[in-house]
Amino acid sequence: MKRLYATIALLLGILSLSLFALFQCRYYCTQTAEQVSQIIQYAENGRLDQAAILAEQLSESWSKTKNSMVWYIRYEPLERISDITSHLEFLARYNDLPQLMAQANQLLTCVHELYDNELPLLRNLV
Amino acid sequence: MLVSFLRTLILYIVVIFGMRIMGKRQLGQLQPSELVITILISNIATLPIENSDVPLILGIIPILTLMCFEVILSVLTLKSIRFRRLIWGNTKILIQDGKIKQQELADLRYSVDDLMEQLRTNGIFDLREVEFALTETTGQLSICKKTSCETLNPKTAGIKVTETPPPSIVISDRKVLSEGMKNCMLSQKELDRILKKEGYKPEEVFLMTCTPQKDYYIVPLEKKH
Repeated sequence: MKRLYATIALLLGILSLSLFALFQCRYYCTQTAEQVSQIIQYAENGRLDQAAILAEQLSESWSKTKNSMVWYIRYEPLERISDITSHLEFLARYNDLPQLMAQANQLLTCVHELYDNELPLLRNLV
Repeated sequence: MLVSFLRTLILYIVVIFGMRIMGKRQLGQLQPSELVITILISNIATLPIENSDVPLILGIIPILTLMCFEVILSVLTLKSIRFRRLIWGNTKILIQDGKIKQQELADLRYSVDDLMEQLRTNGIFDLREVEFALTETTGQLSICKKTSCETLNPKTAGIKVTETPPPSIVISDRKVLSEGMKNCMLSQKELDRILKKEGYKPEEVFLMTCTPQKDYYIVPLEKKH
């Protein structure tokens, strides 16, 4: 019976850890998505210098976020997001608006997908 | 490479830990669910080892989850006969009163060759020696010979013998085992006396076994040349 209690405790621990990771993922994805949306808004309003500053901040905050998320998310989607965030600042700084908008929207999609793929939905289970 | 080495080590420890959680059952004959778990765990464990892009925790959590469910399943099968039969099935009698139950053989898809092979593995070459044979839930065949074909033993020969318990290990690789001494009711004084009589010290003994009747056997440590 001791083994059974230890097993149940372990299962509860795993479930708690999974839920914590899910909430953490949601928090980081929401935060990143907000920053990206802000960049898109600045770009649309022609404030590319502001967009560049925000893109730089996004890049820094994303590298910290990635260090946390790498524990439970595959490297590939995280690397894809890192790749795009590293481009944004320079696209804004060198006034490449079309590319900036395209990359920013792609980044937004990637961030939403990252969270959606972690949800225990039927489409993720099958 | 160092990353790969460390991941392999971590997963190895996790698998060993998990095997300990599942208990000794895993080391003996496997039930179908246990076989499934063992195969699954071995496949899951290789994924993070082979592919460094997969986080280690995505290998550890499935392994631990499978192990936990295996333990829960074992407890449920222990408590409920119905559940046990549902998961592990029933034993099937293949030979009863010396006669082969051909329908059972067909149901189990057991050919005559399979049956004879299993009998030979159990040391039986003549079907006429078998009174009962049944397949366990692990697939193994258990056999009960006819009394007339049983190996002669003191009981069948009508000889009275005193029951002797098996010997316990008292010294294992130079270490004195208190558990073994307790099992054969051997005190430290008695042990010292025996060793002194045989001319050994505990650190010179590779193996020593003893029964409660103080019937002991000593294997001395080989001297290195």
